[in-house]
Amino acid sequence: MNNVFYNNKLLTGVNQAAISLKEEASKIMEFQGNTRGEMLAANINYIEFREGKESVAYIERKLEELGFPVTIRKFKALKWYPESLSVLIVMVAREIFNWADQDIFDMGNAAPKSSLVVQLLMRHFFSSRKSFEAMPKYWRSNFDFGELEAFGFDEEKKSFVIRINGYKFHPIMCIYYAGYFLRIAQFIIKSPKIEIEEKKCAYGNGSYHEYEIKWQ
Amino acid sequence: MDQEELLGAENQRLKEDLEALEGYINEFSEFLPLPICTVNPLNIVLGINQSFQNLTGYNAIEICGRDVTELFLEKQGIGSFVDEALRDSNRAVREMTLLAKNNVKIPVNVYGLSRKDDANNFIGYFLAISDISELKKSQEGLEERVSAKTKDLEESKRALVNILEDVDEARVRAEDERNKTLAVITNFTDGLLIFDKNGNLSLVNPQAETLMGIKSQDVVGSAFSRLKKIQAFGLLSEIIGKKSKGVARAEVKLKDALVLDVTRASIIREKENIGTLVVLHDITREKMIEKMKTEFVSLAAHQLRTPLSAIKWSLKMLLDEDLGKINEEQRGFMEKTYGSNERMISLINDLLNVTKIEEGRYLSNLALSDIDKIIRSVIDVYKDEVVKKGLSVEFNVPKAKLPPIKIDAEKIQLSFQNIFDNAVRYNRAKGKITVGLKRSKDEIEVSVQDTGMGVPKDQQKRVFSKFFRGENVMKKDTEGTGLGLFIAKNIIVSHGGRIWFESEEGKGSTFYFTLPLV
Repeated sequence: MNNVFYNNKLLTGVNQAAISLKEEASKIMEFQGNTRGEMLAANINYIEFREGKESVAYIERKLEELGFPVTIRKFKALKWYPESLSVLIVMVAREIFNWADQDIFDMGNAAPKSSLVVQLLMRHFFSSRKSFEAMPKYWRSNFDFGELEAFGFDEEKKSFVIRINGYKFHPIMCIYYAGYFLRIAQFIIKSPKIEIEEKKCAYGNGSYHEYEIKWQ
Repeated sequence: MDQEELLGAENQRLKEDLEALEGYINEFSEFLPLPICTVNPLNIVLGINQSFQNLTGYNAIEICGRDVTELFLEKQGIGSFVDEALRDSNRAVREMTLLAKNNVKIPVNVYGLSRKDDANNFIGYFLAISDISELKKSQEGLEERVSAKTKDLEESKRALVNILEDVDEARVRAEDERNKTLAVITNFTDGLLIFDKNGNLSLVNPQAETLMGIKSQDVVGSAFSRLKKIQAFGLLSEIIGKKSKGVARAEVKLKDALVLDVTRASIIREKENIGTLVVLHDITREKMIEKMKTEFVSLAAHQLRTPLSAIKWSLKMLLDEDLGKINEEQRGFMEKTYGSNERMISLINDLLNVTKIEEGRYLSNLALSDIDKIIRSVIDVYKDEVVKKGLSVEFNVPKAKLPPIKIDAEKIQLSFQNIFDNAVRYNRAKGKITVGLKRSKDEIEVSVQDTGMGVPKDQQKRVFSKFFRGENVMKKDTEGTGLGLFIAKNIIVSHGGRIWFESEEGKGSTFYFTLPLV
């Protein structure tokens, strides 16, 4: 796997959340917006891969404790589910398994690997640029809210930019989607080193999230 | 239903169709026994099915996103497979080695199906993997068996070549030996004739050609029955034509100045008679010398016998005092001289007999005679000697009267006398002599048993040779010529009889001879 950097730092360390998970969960679940079931399924797969089969039961139990009981195995890939549930699963995993940022990043990085939508969209792939141009369509296929803009594709400078408008669930997802978009880039660009950096963040210096992707 | 509701219903229907399609794809993918992966044009693996996971041991998280070349041992092979085969044609297949989890290598057939969009752009490919481990094993087993068989065959070939080389070497050696043998045969000082097992003459050496006055090319290959018509072969027919196995010898006078010692021997190989060898040894010169010697001895003996007889009778007259009285001392000297003269006469007589035997003119007066009488007369002659030595003589004759037999009575008497003389001379004091006469269907057997000193075992073979005297006898008795038994044997054999003996040193001897009734 390529070395992955986020905001010029190699991702690592344990997130020390100040507020309790229950409070955060309640807050997150108030947000509107849906995602495909395959996003949730991909996260569950990764957790199971990393922590073993029993881990899924822990997640379910924790979600129930938080007041959001779900049967994880019944997620259907193309069905819509609240994005907030997807975010909550990521947070619960971090809580239960004491994951660091790098683990969250890796989880996002693994998600496209089992995405039917990604594979379907790859039918537009006959060049890196074409795939890049298809990325907004990809967002619309996976989310029923917000918008993805892809611009600045420069083969000489070897970089492009992804901007996400209308997504503000939880800062942890900035890390998750950094991993996620890096994987998309890794699918469409062949390079020994590809890096992603969140240049702007809806929780900080901007009204949207903007990721710059560079490669060698 | 307004437009919005219709659109909503259509969306719902499409969503349900999509979900059904997803379910179908998932089920199909799970069920499909063929390992399949989806790869994009950058050779990055996008997706795999369950069978692929089962075969490689990797799950989707571990595999997807990796370069497909990492999954195969033949890095160049998969690259060229994609570049050359898939981009240009829709389908391709190639045998490669899959690198499964934990570095397990699996021989596989890789089937590729290129993916193109509506504008015919290459957008990636599917790879289907077929595990051919069992096929490979079976192929390798087959190859090993073929290899082993080939090795066996090569070893057999080498062994055969070695055998052929050995055979060739043996053939060269055999040829060499044959040439040597032929050289020996050709240069052999004796004549050689070789007949094969069918009696055909197969080899004649130059000496045989000379001796027999024949040419090899005229006679080789001919049967002996035909060759007999040639004079030289005719003269040899008695010995060559003998059916007996083993060795036979004969002297053959081919012409006036050519006497051959002919030896006939069967050639035996592994108990099978494969032919006959005839050796022709020219003894003409030896025979001539022998004849001259015999003539000399005969002449000398005759010349000596007359004066010895004169001496005998002169001494007899002196001893009988026909010429005047002699004193005891003179008598003693004269008796010794008379005895010595007698022995000299006896030796001369023996030598004359031997010369006659050797000249083949020994038997002259064959007539019907009574053997019993001949034996009694000899025993009677030795009466005084027997008494003098304190011997007892027993003469056993059959109850039935023996028929007369046709013999030279004088010679048979001499023969018996020589045997009986030995029994008297070499017996111990007060010993015994048993003379026996026995008749069988065809012959009369005479035996003379003594209790004398016997013949040492190691000398028994030479007993009937000319001038033989036993070592034990010579120590005790210096008299005797060593010709008695030689003469006796020749007399008996000349009559068609047999002579032999049994003896034990220190205990005595028994001599036997037979004479044919007819």
